[in-house]
Amino acid sequence: MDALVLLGSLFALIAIGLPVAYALGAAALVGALWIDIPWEAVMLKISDGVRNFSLLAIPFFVLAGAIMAEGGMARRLVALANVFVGFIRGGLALVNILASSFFGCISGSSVADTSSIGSVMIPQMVRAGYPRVFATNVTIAGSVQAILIPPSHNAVIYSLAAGGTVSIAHLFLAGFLPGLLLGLSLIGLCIFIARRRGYPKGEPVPLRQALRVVVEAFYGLLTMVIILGGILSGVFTATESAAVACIYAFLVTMFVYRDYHWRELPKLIHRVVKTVAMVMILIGFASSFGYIMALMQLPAQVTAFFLTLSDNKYVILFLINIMLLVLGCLMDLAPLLLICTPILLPVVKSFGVDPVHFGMVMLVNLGIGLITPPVGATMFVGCAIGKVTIEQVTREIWPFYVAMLVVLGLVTYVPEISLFIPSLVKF
Amino acid sequence: QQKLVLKASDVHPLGYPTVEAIVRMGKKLEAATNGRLSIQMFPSMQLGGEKEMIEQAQIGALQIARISVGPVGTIVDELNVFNMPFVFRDSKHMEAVIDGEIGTELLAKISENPQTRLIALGWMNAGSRNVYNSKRPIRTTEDLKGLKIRMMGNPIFVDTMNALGGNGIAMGFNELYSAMQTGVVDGAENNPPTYIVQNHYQVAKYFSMTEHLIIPEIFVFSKRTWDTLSKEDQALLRKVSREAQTEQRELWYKMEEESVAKMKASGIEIITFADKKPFQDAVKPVWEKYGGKYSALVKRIQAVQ
Amino acid sequence: MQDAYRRAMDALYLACIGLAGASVVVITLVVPWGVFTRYVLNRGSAWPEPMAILLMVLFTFLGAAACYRANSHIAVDMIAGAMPPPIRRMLAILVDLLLAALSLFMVVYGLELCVTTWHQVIAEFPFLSTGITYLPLPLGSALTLLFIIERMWIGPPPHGSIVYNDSAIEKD
Ligand code: NA
Ligand code: NA
Repeated sequence: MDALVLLGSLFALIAIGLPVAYALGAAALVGALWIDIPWEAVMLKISDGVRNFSLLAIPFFVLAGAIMAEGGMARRLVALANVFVGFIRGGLALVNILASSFFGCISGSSVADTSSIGSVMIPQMVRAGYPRVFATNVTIAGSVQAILIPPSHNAVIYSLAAGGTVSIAHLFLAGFLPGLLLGLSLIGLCIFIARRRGYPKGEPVPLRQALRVVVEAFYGLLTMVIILGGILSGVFTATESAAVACIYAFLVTMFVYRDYHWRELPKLIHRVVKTVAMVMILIGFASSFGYIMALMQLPAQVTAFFLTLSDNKYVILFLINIMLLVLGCLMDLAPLLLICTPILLPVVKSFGVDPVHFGMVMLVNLGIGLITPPVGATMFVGCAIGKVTIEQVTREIWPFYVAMLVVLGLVTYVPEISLFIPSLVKF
Repeated sequence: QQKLVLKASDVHPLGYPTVEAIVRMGKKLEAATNGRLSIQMFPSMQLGGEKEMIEQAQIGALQIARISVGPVGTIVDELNVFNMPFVFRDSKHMEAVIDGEIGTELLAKISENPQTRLIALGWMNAGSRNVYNSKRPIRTTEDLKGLKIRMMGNPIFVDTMNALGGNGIAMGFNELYSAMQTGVVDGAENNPPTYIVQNHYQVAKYFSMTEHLIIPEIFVFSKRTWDTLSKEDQALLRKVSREAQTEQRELWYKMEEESVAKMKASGIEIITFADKKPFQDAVKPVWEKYGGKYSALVKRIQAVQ
Repeated sequence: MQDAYRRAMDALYLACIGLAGASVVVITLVVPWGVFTRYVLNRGSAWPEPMAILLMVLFTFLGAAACYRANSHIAVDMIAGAMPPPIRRMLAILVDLLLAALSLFMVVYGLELCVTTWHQVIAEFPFLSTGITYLPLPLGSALTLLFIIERMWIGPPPHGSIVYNDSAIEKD
């Protein structure tokens, strides 16, 4: 009954169009009334939910990514990718995906990836004779890599939603191979499609020019080296590394690349404030919602419920994946991470699934949700930039879904893909 | 009569002495009132950290919270005397103080101050805090030179470590394990059970029994709820709380023994001290900076045998 | 009257973004300063971390109010979108009324929380009342309420309003 009141009011409020953050808060108030908890306690949780040092990584990573992306980084990463794969058949599609892999090393946002790589790549692909819809689909599918390849502020959100018990450094390292696997499977798919449809290939880049391109892009890719190197060598914590990355990104953009103007900065900050505040208030409200869930002992009940369905780990993981894919169609990544992690993590933990591994399963799964209709932030942005409709994109995106579902299956059932790299580092 | 479920919260997991003592207290309440009063325990930070627990108790969202003196010390300053380094000679001395007149008096100060919105029910043992690190055995203050040691975020603690010769680093507890592992800090300080339970022994092999801090903990009751209880229920709660205080102490010693045994079995180098005077002398500046206002209370504490 | 209110809201919006933006910039500088003191001055400072956290709380609630005005909160408008226009308009009004009620609750109970915790201080900054650290919540909610009144009374900020004044300049 408790669950019905809490989840029922949440879904009702979301359905009529209340912003998800406020729906979480309002449902928490309803739940508090139901189990007789004073409303000030809900206020306390909303505020304390954002009062967490690890969360500072989110504004830092978003800011660093924004400075890099808008400071001409996207163009340089595209040039770099072009050196490596541009000469293959379907080259520009592969360049698009590889540029997103690189972009993932400086940003954790698939929306930012789509808007920066997409605005460089889609017009270029269209000019070279690729269909507009295909170019858009390549862009949005490739951009999901950004949330897996470190740094990823969504990994920070997962760590937080897991009760702060999962190391952010571990999650970052774990994201490497799933991200790479996703990139490779998309590249494989694009090579296959390009062969069948006879898409063009580019010219090899002359060595001298290639070297210049590599050096220029190197400064940007160094961001991830600073972040991971700093964390792993113990120079700073994950949060601190994000702040240092911001300052580094700023210095490179302003004094090395020098193609960004100071007067652009207020607008950039304006954008960053809107993006980050939207995520942070979501986290605050979700924490009040999680508090009422904890008081109702809902996670334990859900675990008990799943145990009645099956006692087989693989079946449970399959069911959870189906559930998350459905939810991912309807809702965005961050709110789902915040709502589902505290409920589902105890379930899979009771089957001995590693929380870091499960984090990767959730990120890949909900990452697919970003490019599924009817609600998919990355898909919306991709359509706007590719100047195509959601219907056109949806009609032709299914091969990309297949490739991504294969990756999801591998990541779900082969935990080593996630856990191998973290196990190399003696943590 | 209407049933009342008292919500209790702790940052520690089920089975931990402080949690177990409250769970047992709940069973006694249930038996004594035929199930009219009971306790529902939310362990492992399910409802948040200590700061949030206190505030929830003040609001009346939960009834029982087990907390350190730190957060209450911000309202009832005298409690902060327990945060001073080497204020007690040893654990026995600390127990004599909290079981005696001074302990009762301080609890009353919390309960009677309307601004706390809390009723203090009793004390709990939290052992003594000792320095451990990954670099070398600490035998003298000299050995601490250049080591970055994580301290709790109160200036007194950071200054204590600086006075002892090390570099006190304020850092959240969540980040500590990986910070020690990667070398952001060289060590930390805590009691043996925490050292074992949090797996710190895997990354910091040198454990020195400095006992520089012995800080008892308090369990409090929400005043908002308390005022709705009958006199009889209040008296009953007082009675089972006193029993919980004793019971927790026994549980604590058992766990401490087990932890030390585990430390020995894991090959941890445990350094003990015949004389802690050099360490006690080193923290004199901390006493000069923060201790002045407690001098009368400190005299009484020292007089307790 | 409407014009004056609109202008006031524009100013408030700008203040929200300005303060929130300044907070982001300050925490970006303060946290590396903590690293710097740890290594170069070889002595950890205790203040950067808690200060950054308090600024983030302020940032969140001011920023969230601005997000409402700029209509950039995540919402699911699938069901409303499928409805005929009259019902869609009614749903939009219902949503704004619910948001207004929620914001009002947050002002009232947020202030109540401030009062409850007013007499204690936070451990890291003993001169700062815990109650004050909870003030951004009712403050941000009050601002949101003012923006909701604007939307219900005058309508969403017009085309060319400062809320949209943040698009990146097209490059390449
Ligand atoms: Na990334
Ligand atoms: Na979706």
